[in-house]
Amino acid sequence: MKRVEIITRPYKLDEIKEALTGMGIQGMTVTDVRGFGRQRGHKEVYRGAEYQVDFVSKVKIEIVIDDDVLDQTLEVIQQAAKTGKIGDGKIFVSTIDNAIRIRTGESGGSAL
Amino acid sequence: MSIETLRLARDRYRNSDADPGHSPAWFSARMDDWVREACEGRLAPAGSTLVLALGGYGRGELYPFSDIDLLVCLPESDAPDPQLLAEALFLPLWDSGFDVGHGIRSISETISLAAADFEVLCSLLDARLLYGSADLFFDFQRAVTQSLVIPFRAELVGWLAGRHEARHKQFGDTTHLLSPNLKEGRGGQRDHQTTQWLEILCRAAGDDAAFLSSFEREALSQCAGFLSLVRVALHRVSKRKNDVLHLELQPEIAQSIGFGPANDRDSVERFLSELHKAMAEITLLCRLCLDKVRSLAGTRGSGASNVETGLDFSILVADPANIVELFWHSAQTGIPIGWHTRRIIQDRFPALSRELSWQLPIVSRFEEILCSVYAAHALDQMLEIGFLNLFVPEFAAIEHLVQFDAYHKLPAGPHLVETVRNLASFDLGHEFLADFLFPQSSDPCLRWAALLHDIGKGNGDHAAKGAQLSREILGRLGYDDNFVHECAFLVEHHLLLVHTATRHDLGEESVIMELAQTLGSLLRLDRLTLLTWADSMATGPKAWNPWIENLLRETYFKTRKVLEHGIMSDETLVHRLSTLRDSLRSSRPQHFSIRDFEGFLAVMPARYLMQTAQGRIIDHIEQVHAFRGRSDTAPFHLSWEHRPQSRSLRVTLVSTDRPGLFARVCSALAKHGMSVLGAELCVWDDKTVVDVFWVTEPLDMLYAEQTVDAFESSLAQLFADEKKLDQLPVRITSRLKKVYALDRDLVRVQLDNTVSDFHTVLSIQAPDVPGLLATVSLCLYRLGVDLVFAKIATQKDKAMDILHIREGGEKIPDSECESLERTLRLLICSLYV
Repeated sequence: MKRVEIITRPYKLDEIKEALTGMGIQGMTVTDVRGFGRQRGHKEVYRGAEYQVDFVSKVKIEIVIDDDVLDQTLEVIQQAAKTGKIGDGKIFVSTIDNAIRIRTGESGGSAL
Repeated sequence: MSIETLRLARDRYRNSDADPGHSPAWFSARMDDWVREACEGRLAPAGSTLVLALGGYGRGELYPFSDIDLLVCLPESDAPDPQLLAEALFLPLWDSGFDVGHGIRSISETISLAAADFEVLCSLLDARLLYGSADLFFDFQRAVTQSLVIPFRAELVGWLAGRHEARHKQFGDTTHLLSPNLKEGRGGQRDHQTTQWLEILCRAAGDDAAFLSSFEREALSQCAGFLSLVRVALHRVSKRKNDVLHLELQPEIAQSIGFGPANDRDSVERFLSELHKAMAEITLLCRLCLDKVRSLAGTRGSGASNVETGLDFSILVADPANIVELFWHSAQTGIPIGWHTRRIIQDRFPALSRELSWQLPIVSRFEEILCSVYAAHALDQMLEIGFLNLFVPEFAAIEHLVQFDAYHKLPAGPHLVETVRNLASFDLGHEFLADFLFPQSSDPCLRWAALLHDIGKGNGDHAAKGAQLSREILGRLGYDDNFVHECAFLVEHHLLLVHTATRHDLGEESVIMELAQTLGSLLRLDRLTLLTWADSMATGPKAWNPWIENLLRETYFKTRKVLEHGIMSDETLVHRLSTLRDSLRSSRPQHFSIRDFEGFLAVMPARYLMQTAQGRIIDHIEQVHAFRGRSDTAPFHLSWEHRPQSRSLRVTLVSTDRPGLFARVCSALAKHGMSVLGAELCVWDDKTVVDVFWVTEPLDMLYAEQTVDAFESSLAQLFADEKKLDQLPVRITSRLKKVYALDRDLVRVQLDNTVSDFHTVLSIQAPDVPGLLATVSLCLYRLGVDLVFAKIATQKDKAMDILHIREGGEKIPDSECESLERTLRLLICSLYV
């Protein structure tokens, strides 16, 4: 099982959600986050001072999927999230040791 | 009844499929039966040992998982063995899984304990005899009254008031929280019990006057009954002692008490609206009772003046204007309107609701209240008393409207008041854009928009409906057309900024331009931003947080810049654009449908519309249409015309935006000896490129067509094979090269990141030479820099070029500007040798 974490532009959330549910992924966790990478926010002149707003608002989407759909999922996410401009974000992939459905006790892939 | 029978009754009672008759009173009666049976044979039926039910059990209210509170009062002498009594009464209950509150003490011990602990005293106020002498119980009650209630009445009232306040503070405005606490929260059962204890205290003091009016008593009874129903359902659904109506339980509980299916959102929202109404009513009545008893007990400070006990202008309310003055005075001073005056005001409502002519004379005073610092305080009271529904009847439909989600913490009516409260408390020191927004915080138009922005809820598109209702309301109240229009605009667009910030790419100039165009002025931007903040703050923690604040600030500053300094800084621009579009529509060529033509207009940037003649716009539409309709796969569409007066050709290129487009065109032009005298480059919002070049005419105009054909062919090759572009240095016909004894200061290259939030502006001033633009554009292309917009001009022999560029969708970082300037300058200077 793999955990896929996507950090991308807020307005891309609906598109990514549609793309993932379209390929049968039924669960995801969404968090509002702020951060920066190469995209450096914007400048503001406020109260007489110019300052750089570095923390850009993004969304983080987390899903856990079977290994065999990983490549397809990554492709789908990139297609949905990509604009070609700095600030499109990143995808992180990590390995999950186990998953358990609390209600039934199922574990492993059947818990997804 | 045996303990087994009692257990069975309890299990039936706790079941979600329980008989509707299995109520708190029913189960109390079952428990009574068992207690009496447990006492038989061990105690004399009318003996001196009293077995009392206390607390909820004493009131005859046992919920499915309630505690059982029992007190055994022993006589001072010849008391039965307490251990045997405990074994008979308490052990079976414990063994059966009941939570038992228990005590065995003498009457004198009980009274001593109650004197030291008001919690115990209040439980005794609810005491009910289960077994023992009725006469002795009557004496016990009298002793409690004489030795505790009467002497300690003032302290007890103060204690109840303090607990009331502490409870409300701890549990928040419970009816407004997402998961109300039915017992301890504001308007919960504890508040209801408080009213009952307060009445007991009044009676004990010999006050025989009606504590509550029959109307109030009936209302309290109904609300308490509904709350009881919900708490029973909550215990059953939770299958444990739980008094918090968690969000995820609300659908099932709504269904179990008959509001409709659990998956029907309307049913759940109706249930929550009823609950809110009931708890709001209990809150109000509890507060009125506290006010009344405190004024009677003289516990609200010394001197019992009007200031301490509440305003009481009972003789004035015959005139509605005086009612508003009351609210005005209360708003100014912060002193709440007293309970008696509230009743008198409410008595006037039937007469006032029959005709509305009384409204117009009080509008200006209402507006003063609305714009004051204490606006929300007055509006809270107007809402509670029902005056707001009378003044704005449309309020009644949404007052208790609840949205079932984890987002809205307040029902619609209190939410609107809370929005006004946020505006009223917005001061100059506030973190969120105070310097810009503070001047608008007490603006009447904005305050009305805050009060009315959700008035259309429950009717589909509530923003549009709200705008319509706002127009009706404000028109009826005598406001002029401009005010009404402005307020309706704010109501209709109160979600615009959040939608733009969260659902659109703020890095795209077109997004901000469209927003700026919709707003049309800095004043509207400031008002709408402040309304958005106040509305979000009043909605809930998910609606306003650092994440959304970040996005909104970015939206605000970018839009502000466009409105202040950009193309939108012209206040008449919106009107002019609208007029331009109308004029274009009237010139629509017949072979375009209205829909198709509107599609073209919708994607034309404002800048393009303002700087392009109407006739040429139509011409461009025709060319774009021809390009899209081509059956071949040609990557561009070209047209040209000779302009003899200026000895130039005007070449129009239509294509789809791609990297290196401008470089290809400039290179191909340079190859065929056509120097660019001027250019206007534009990318429409749908990525259609419409570039117009004014180039020097060929040396021999006889072969103009062939030259242009050759240019087109070269251009096609550059489109077909990108590598050809990469291979190009610019090929400039040698006979066109000129040798300059160059003053290097004539070449100026400047990058500016302050002009626009979206692009870096590259300015080039240099002696014009063939290949200048091609060199610059090729350099930019090779560095991965995109060209978004350009204005190319030549004045006499001087090239003056403005290019808006981006790298990776962002402006060129400041740290890289200097090196790019240097590179371009070196390249340009190399052309002059």
